[in-house]
This record gives sequence, C-alpha cells and structure tokens, in this order.
Amino acid sequence: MQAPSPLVRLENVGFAYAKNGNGLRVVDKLLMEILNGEVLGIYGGNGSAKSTLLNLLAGFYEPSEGTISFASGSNPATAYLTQDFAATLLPWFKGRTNLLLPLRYAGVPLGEAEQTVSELVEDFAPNLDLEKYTHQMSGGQQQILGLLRCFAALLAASHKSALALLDEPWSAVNFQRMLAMRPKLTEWAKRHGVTVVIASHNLDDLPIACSRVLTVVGPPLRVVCEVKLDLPHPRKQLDLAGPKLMEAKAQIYGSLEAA
Amino acid sequence: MSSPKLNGHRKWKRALPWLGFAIVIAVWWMLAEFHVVNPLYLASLQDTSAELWRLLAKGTLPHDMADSLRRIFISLGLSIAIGLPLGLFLGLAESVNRLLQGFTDFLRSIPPIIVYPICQFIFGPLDASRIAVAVFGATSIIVLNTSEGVRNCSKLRQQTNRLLGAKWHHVICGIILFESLPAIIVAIRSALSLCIIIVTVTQMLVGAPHALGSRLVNAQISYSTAELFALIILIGFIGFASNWVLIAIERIVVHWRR
Repeated sequence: MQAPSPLVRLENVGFAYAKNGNGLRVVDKLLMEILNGEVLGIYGGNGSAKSTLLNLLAGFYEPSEGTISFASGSNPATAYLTQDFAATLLPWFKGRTNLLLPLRYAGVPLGEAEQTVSELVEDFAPNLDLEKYTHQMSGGQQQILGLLRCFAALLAASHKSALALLDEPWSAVNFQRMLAMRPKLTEWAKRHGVTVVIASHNLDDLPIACSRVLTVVGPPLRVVCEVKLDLPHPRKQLDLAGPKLMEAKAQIYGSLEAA
Repeated sequence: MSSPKLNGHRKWKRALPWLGFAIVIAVWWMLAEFHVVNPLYLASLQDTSAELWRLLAKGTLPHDMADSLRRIFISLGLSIAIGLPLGLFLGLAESVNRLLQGFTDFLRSIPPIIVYPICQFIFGPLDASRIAVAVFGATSIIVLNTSEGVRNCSKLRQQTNRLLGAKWHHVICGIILFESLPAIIVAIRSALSLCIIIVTVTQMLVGAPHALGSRLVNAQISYSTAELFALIILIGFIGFASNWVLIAIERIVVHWRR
C-alpha cells in the first residue's frame, strides 16, 4: 500500500496571542504533518493550546512565524466544529435549515441538498428533530447538529480535498450516543476521503476513532509522542481493553509522565 | 418547571399592572374630589372623561390624531429606510465608522428640536419640516444602534460559517441582520418615541390649525385644564399603543430570544 501523502504541513510554526512580543508564546517551532485521508487525534491536557492549533489550521489565526502549507496548493475545503459550537449555529433557523445552508452556499440544488441532509441524519442521529430551532435543542443535540453541518459542508465541496477540524466533538453528547458515533465518524471519513483532526482530552475517544494520535503538552505546544494505530475499523469500546490499544494508551501515558 | 404555588402567583402577576392603573386613577379621583389640589393644576376625573368623550365623539379630533399618526409613521419609516442601511454599512466598515465617529457623536449631541428653524427654511413651514426634524433625530438613533448591533455580532459565528462556504452576502443577510435584529427593534422603539415627541412639539411651536400640539397650546390659553388632561392622555395613549404593537412584533420576529 502506498504511503499517504501529506495534506497539510506545518513548518516551524509559532504563535503568540499578544502582538508586541512579550505575549505568551503558545505555539513554538511546531513541526507536524496531517496526512491525506487520516483521522488524526490530538491528545493533550486543558490549556495545552490544542484549540489554538485548530484555529491556526482553520485560518482563524495567522502564524507569527513559520508556514502552514497545503499539498494541493490551495486550501482544502475546511469545516470546523469549535468548542463553543452553540455560538456558531444560526438560532433563528430550524435545525434543518442549519444543515441545508452549507450545501446551498455551494449551490447544491434544494432537492439534492435535502437528500444529503436526510442521509446524514439517518446515519448519525436518527432521533434528531430537525424541525426544532437550535435554541430549543439540548447541548448535545446542538453539538451533533454542528458536527453534521461540518460534514454537509465537506460533502458540498466533494471536488476538493476536505479537512474536518473537530474540537472535543463529543463533549456534550451522552455516553451511549458517543459510543455509537465514534466508529461511524471514522467510517464516514474513510468513505468520503475526508481528512479529520480531532482534539480531545479524553484518551478513550482517540484510539477508537483515529489512525494516528499525537500527544501534546504545552504551552508552548509540542508533540511528545506519536502513536500509529493500525487496528482495523470499526473499533468498539471494548477494544480499548485489547492488547494493541492498551499498549498505545500505556505509551501515551508514559510520554506524558516523561514530559 | 414551576411549582403549583408559583403558577397560582402568575395570575396575580398578570393582574398587577391593571391594579396599578386602578390605584393611580383612584388617587387622582380623590385628590380632585376633595379639592386637595387647585383645580387649575388638576382636572377632575369626571371633567377629563367628559372632555375626552367630547373630543373623541364630536369634532375632528380622531381625524387629527390619524393625521399626527400618519406624520409619526412617515418619519419613522423614513428614518428606518435611511438609518438601517447606513447603520449596517457603518457597522461593517470599521474604518469608515472611525472616520465619522467624532462627527456622528457631535450630531447626536444636538437636540433634534433645535434644527427646526433651519428645517423650516429648507422645507417650508408645513409638514415637511416637522417630518425632517423627526427624521433627523430618529435616524441617528437607528444608525447608532444598528451599527452597534452589527459590531457586537459574534465573530466566531461569521468565521465558522465562512469556512462552511457562506459568501459575504450570505453572512450579511443570513447571519448579521438576524443577529442584530434585537438591537434594531430596540432602536425602532426609541425612534418611535422621539418621533411622537418631535411631531407634537413642532405642532406646539408652529400651529397647524387642529393638530394635537396646537390644541394643547389653545387649551392652555383658554385655561381648560380638563382639555389639557384629555389631550395628554390621548397622546400618551398613542405612544403606549404603538410601543405595545412594536413589542408584539418583536416577540414574533425575534422568536429565538426568550
């Protein structure tokens, strides 16, 4: 099998919040690659600048040093589920409209867009009531809506390479729903050739969903461990007790203790 | 969510504003009935009601009120038509806003009524100049609140939706306009109050024969306290009712904020 090519390359990326130089340097000389079609996990503690990294990848922040380059030359179609997902939804529209909009932005005809939306919902959250306005939904439902909206946007841009940035995508979702969604997300990403970056401080999320996990500490953010997980998908919660994932988790814990 | 006890209180709470009205009217009646206050200052409840009835049932007052309302709503409509796009533009164009900020702050510090004389030069002594003054005052309220509302919109929401493929017109029409709608409606409500004030006061200054403002002045000249009270109640009612209509509209339009 051919080794996947990098989609994004970060070279000596540095970032500080205050511009006058004495601000806290939260990212410093960061070197990393995101490979085409992988599901990459970023595991790190609170305040380790995981979200800053995602904001840099999304283009919300400009790196103060170094470069972020994309393999295709132009930026891939990017969708970003932020931690503050509720503030990114449009509460004046129903759930359905929130999901339809990214497809409509891209000029997908209404009928086709509705088909795509109903397939996505059928796949991930059949109980989600799309006739509700987003402010009538629970936090978990809003987060799932935000996630599905990212997927809808990436489906709309199917001619380009696609990158989904997911910051704690299950922080508000209940345990049972999360168990069901984790393997589905990976399966969906593989099926559509979407590259995914998941930031999480819950280590159980990542070995289930990801093909590679970077453990980071910070600030300044630095990678202390890289674990490749070649166990076949879909993985189940109980696989975490199996030797391969146990070993991966042990390696990650070890690297954190050494850091 | 609330306990049965709290539900029982809710009915009471709904009745309370009416009770407040009733108390004020009762106090008024007593003060006048027992001549606590000089009747030149305080018309009695009976005289005022009789005067209200006379004004409303006979004569041209309903017609004049409709006329004033028409002027008020023309002024408000023009202010919205000018102020909303301008406020939207200033809210979006940060540098233009900076450029004009000092000047617009100065404009807002001018009490609108003092531009009436110059407006009479420009627009003539009749309706057009009253409307011009009201538009001058109300537009600046709408511009200020709209641009503030636009500037306070969540940047994160705009950024993430841009990533999802929203073009600039999607961001303006589908996000910013909705998000600043509550601020815009508040602005329209204050602009309405100002329009009522200015239309009435300009009528007091330069009388159109039977307008509400000139009736006030005439009632004062003829020492008719009851008519003054009746007119004050009527003009107050115009403001009260139109504000209530706007609140009802706000409840329907801004449905996501409750």
